[in-house]
Amino acid sequence: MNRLRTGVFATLLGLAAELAPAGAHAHEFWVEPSTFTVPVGGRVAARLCVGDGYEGWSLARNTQRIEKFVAAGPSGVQPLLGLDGSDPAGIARLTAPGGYVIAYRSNRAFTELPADEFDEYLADKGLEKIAAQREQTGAGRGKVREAYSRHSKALIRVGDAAGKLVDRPMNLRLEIVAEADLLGARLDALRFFRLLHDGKPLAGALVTAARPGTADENLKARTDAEGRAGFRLPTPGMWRVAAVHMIEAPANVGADWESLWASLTFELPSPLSSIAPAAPAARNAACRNRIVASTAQVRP
Amino acid sequence: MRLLVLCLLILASGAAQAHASGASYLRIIADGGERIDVLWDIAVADLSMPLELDVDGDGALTAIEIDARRPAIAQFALQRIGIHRGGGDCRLSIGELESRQRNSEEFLRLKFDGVCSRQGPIDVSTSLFFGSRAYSALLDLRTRNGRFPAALSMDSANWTEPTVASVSGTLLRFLREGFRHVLIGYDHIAFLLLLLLPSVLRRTNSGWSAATSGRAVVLDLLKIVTTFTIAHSVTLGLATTGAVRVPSQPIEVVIAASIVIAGVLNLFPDASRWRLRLAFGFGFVHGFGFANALAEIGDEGTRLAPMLAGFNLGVEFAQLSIVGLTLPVLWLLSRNSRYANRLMPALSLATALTGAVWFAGRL
Repeated sequence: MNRLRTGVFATLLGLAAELAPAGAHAHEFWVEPSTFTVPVGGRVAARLCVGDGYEGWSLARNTQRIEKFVAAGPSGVQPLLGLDGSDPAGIARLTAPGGYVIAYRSNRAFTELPADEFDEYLADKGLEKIAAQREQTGAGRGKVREAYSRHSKALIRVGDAAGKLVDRPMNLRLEIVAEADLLGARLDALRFFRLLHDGKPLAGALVTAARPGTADENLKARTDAEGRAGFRLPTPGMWRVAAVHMIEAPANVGADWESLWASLTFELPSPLSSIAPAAPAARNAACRNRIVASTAQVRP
Repeated sequence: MRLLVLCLLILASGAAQAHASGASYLRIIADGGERIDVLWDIAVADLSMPLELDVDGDGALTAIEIDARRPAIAQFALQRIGIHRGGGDCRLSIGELESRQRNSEEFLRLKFDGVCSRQGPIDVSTSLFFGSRAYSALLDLRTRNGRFPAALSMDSANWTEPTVASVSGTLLRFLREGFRHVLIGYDHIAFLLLLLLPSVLRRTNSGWSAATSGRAVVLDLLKIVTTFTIAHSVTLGLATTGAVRVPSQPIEVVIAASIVIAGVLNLFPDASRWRLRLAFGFGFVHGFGFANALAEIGDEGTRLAPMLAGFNLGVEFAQLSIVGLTLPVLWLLSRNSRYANRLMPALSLATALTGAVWFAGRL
């Protein structure tokens, strides 16, 4: 009976934790294409998504923030088109068979957090060095102003659905690059990703692998000296590999710290799909599960 | 203690949504020609997150930040509305965009000019619900055939003009809306539950004891719920017809306060004699809370009778459903002395604390 009560309690607690609204900051960001496999000449629409776990919402295209939003593949590099305010934020027609990388890079935006919340966020993202640095320098308990930018990619296959799923560097300030063909190994094989900061391997960073739109636990790994982190991704479907890096903000930026948010999204097909390929089903965007109400106030 | 923590967590999980039961206001005027006018009021705060309006990240939106994104806001809204007439598409083009206040909240009014190539009944669909089931688009369609109020939500995002303005159709539509409004309005449910929790107990010299007569419990509860219903029906009617106007922000604050007060009073058996007066007094306030959504599309008094009646009936049905589902459970729980000594006070306290969080957030 006690075990039953404990189980029920744990379940309800888990449910409550799932339902509990997360903070507005420290959410992951990713590019979510309407489909990961496109016929030659087909169209792909990309959403810009923010969220964690089950929770997620899409951001409208913001021309003031976009520095780069392109699809790079066998037909060259082409922009993802859209009007300011559009959601999905960008659309492209992919005309050559092979692998494409959609890359998004934003400029800096700003946010302010109370010191306690900022410290929690540092712990959550594995940024202990910054936490230690703050402690050493005797950082105050006032608000912390942070500049942040987003550097995200998604991998698309065009044409032959049984083809390779390969990645390439896209000149992002912080970038996750899949090391090998993601479809070249069994589903539960170890897959490696490299984390690059300004093109150079970043060691000791926390990298997570998650399935957006689900309540599955995030997988975590630290990068080695060569910036590599490995994961076994046992479930077919969309995956997001993500990392955050923080540095002291340059003097002219007007912030205490600057964070760089990187993510890579891709889809691992079910092993059965290679035996009996099915028509791609319309995907229910994981980043449209829920929106957290904004707390922003309108200043008169 | 564990129970209290659990209750707090579960109740707190609804805190954000309790405050996010917002609405946009969509008015479509079609006088019979091929042109239609569309006015859509959307709260600036709702647009803030998907459009990243708070550029400097200071938690406050300024006119400069909003102005800089006006074309994007219009495009964002345009993508989320579809109007058809007689089966043909109506082409919408972006017109003016202006700021306006609604219930002390900052809204943007987007004007679209529409051209419909065909005649016939108008069909409206929208997907602007910000991912929330609690969000509604309150539609006010005015055609030569009459005026058609309707509420669109994620579960019912499409609406077609009936061939004639039907009183029963309006009544049924708003009955459903009233029912839904209670079920998604955590604060209203919380207050109702606080009235229900001690209803299966009786005050004794040493505190609480389980009630022995089920009939007496039902009659007592009926008295309280009816009092609450009468009170909020009065203010719902007054506010919706425009006879009384109260801004939503202070009402929301007082509703949160009513939860705190009701929860705290449940901790004191001697205060149980106040429950009836509490239900009556705060019933007025909760009625204003319901009315604030409806008042925006109801400025022509008597024409709104079916809408008002339907909404109110929906609210009552929802309340009775909650009472019907909860009372037997509470009755069974109350047969154990721990209900009176621990569970009821713990649930009341947890709900009161949640009310305090809402109170602080709404100030």
